[in-house]
Amino acid sequence: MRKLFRRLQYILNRRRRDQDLSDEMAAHREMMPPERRAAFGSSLRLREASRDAWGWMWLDRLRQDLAYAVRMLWRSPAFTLTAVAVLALGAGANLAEFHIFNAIFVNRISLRDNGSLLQLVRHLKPDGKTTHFPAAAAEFYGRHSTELSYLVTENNGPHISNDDDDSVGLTSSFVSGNYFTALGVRPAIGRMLDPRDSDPAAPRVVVLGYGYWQQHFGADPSVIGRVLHLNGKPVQVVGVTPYNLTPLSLWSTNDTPLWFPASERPYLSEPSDPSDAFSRADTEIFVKLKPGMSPAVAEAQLSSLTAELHREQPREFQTGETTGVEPLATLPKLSPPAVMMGVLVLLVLIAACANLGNILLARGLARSQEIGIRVALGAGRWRVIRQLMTENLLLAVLGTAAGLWVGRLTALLVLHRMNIGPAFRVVNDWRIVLASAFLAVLSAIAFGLAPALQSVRPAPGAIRARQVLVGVQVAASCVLLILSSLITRFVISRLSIDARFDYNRMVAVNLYRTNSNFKGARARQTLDEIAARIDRLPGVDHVTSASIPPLGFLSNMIHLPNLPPVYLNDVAPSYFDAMAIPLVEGRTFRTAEQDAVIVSESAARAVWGKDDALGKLWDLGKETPQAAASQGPYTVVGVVKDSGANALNDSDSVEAYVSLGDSTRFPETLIVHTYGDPSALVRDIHAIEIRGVHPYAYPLRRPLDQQTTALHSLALIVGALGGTATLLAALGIFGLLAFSVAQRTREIGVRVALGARPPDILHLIARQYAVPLAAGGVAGIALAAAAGRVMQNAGQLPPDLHLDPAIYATGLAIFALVALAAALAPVLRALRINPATALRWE
Amino acid sequence: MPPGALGMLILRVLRTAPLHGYAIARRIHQLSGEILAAEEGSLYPALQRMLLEGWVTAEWGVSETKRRVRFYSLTEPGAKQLKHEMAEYEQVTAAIQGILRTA
Repeated sequence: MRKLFRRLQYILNRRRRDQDLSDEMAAHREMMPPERRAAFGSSLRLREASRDAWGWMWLDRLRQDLAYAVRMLWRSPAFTLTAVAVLALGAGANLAEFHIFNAIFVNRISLRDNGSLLQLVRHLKPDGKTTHFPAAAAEFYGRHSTELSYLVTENNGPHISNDDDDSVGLTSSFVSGNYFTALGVRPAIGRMLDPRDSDPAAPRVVVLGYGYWQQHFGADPSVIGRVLHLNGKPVQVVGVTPYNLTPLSLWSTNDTPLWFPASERPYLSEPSDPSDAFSRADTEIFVKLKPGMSPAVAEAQLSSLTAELHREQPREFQTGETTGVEPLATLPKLSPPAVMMGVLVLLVLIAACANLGNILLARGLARSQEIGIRVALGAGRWRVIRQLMTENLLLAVLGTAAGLWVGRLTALLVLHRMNIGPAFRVVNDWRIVLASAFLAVLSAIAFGLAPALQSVRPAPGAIRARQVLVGVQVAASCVLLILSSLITRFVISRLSIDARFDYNRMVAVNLYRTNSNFKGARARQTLDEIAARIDRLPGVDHVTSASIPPLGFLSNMIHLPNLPPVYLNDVAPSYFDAMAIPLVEGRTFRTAEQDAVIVSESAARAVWGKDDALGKLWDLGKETPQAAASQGPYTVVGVVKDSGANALNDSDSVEAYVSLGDSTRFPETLIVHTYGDPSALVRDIHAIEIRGVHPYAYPLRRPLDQQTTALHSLALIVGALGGTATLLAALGIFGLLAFSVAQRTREIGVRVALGARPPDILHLIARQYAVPLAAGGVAGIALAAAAGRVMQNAGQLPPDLHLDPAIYATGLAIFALVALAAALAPVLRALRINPATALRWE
Repeated sequence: MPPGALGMLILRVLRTAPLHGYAIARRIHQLSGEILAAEEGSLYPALQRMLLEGWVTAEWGVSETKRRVRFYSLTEPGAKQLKHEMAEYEQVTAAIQGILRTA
């Protein structure tokens, strides 16, 4: 300890201590008899040896090495800039990934009892299983069970509309009053729901989901206390959930925009008879056992409670039904595409390192003379390697520092595109600094060690090493380019919807009943009245109705043997006219016509081939919307052009239409075409007031817009990665060839003088890289195919899209083009070498 | 001079009185009957090492020839170290002599 202290003291006063030593030695020398003075030796060396005793030599050397490295890098700015740029791109992509990962996953909220939460499960006879209980069952268990520390319920309820900002189809979660307090969830702003909100007399409140708050309220904190009109009912906002709070249920959507107390369910959707409390099994129950309780004991008690429930409500609970508990998986799962994205980004770093390794190998070759001189002057092998590694480390630090900046910028851009919102500030916290330090050291070793070793002891392996590095680079670039081409292709196929109808000028109107007894003739009459009033609005030229609005979230798909999926819609006779879908042959429906079907051209082709479909009978099976009215086969009365409405989701599907009857499975939607401004029409429609029905309108293209934004950002991210890799590859190939040519100028000059012609020169330069290029390309194709398969298995891609050879051809062609462009300048230079000047070349 | 002996000799001559570098070398030379010579090349690194270990301290003073020189003096741990080294040395030489006599 004291020794360390003395050592530190020395380094702090080293200048004075050095002076002391030198004075002392001078005195010594003077005192010596003149004839012996020579025996004293070099006082410089002596002083060095003496200083060595204090163990600070490495610091001196490091300083020397650093100063030397700075000088070397400063003197070759082109090399330094290229190296730093390459590394900044590689490290930047990684750091961006790290930032995004950090923002999305690490900052994710964790529930207090994440690991110990259990979900109740109903075991039905003979061997069914469901997690959905009637709401009243949860209350019963909660009241009578003695084994539970707490019990919370969640009911991922109906879609809700927000009339103030025109959102429709918002998912909602109705939770028990103790839900947030028991799970320990803290609000982003305002407050979460608490047991007081469950009081039927309490004010009607809602907690907004974080994403919804960001996107629809611009993250405005003054939203707290505001009254929204949800499904036409006033509800007051009391808080906003933390980011990424997802319902516990497996069936929920990830970003639930609206959270209500369970007691508000009847207020927001149709009023229900209190005696009805058992009739809807839509509630999921989550519990935490009391400390030390075994799940088996809890299951036994819950099952006996279920038996009691069965005696009270024999209709809702089966004889012999038991209740079990199962652990709940709530940890954030990394989906395969996320992992794959990480691998792709790592690939960019590997490509960057390979690139740099190559540049450094070439540079090592150029510096072999310098190193030779240093070794000849007595520098040890390790001393030289250490010096070179210092230089590499300095490069790595510079590159990573630049990468830190590039990464931050990229992450900001991506997070902005992903609409994560301003609450996520990208900050360089310690994890990011640590990650970049790690990257710096890793890359210094990865790209620096081999060249450093090689420069001390030039070996025949050097050429091989360079070929391998080129191969790695080519493979990485090819994978990224092929995958970008694959994803771009996929995105383009999703972006271009081939819809026949004029969806830009159409509005869909959902009709929410505010009274559940609204059926039959009265409903029909009201519907007709609304349609008539909409028809009179300015700009409207067509009003029709269907059970399923095109491009929306709803679909009614039926699967028949040996046929592609059939999208079936119930439509009014005027539907085809309003949608501008031309009749090819036959006629449209008559009013409330039964047993008639109109098919699209592709459906006709799929079912009857070249035969004329008109007049044929078609058995649509039991899934027909008018199941009660007609079971028999339908007669084809007309054939229409394909609408293209479902192409967005399912390009193989075909369409068929039946006539809209009085009782359809889905609520009727009005579809309105305007020659004016659709958003003005939406406002006009919302102003219509009719007792018993609440019309909710939205522009038809909105779901399309929502889908395309997400795809756009995906394409942007992958495209950026592909671009980075391509840029790296171009830099690498250019650098390598330029260097090769410069190195071999003399040789090429001699060959030209001896009669070599341009093709020979080309062959000479290219030969060395033919094998690595080919091997890298093949490896790239194989890796890309594997990645495509992973994506397909994850359900991210339509089947077999990744097998399309055109995609590979595109990726490889882009690479070839870039490689050629990068090679052009050095190759031209090689061809222009003049033997006379070349022979005078250094 | 056998390796390691220099350090012991330096410590030993310093036990009598604080000395400067040249005086240490001369004293070792004289006391050994002009047989041993403390080479300057190893004297100063050895002294630096002893400073680091804390066996000696150094202080500027004026020599008998009126020169500014640095006097080294033995510290408490230095004296302990000397005792230890001498004991060890005696043991080793005794053992070596034993072998030389009987073998």
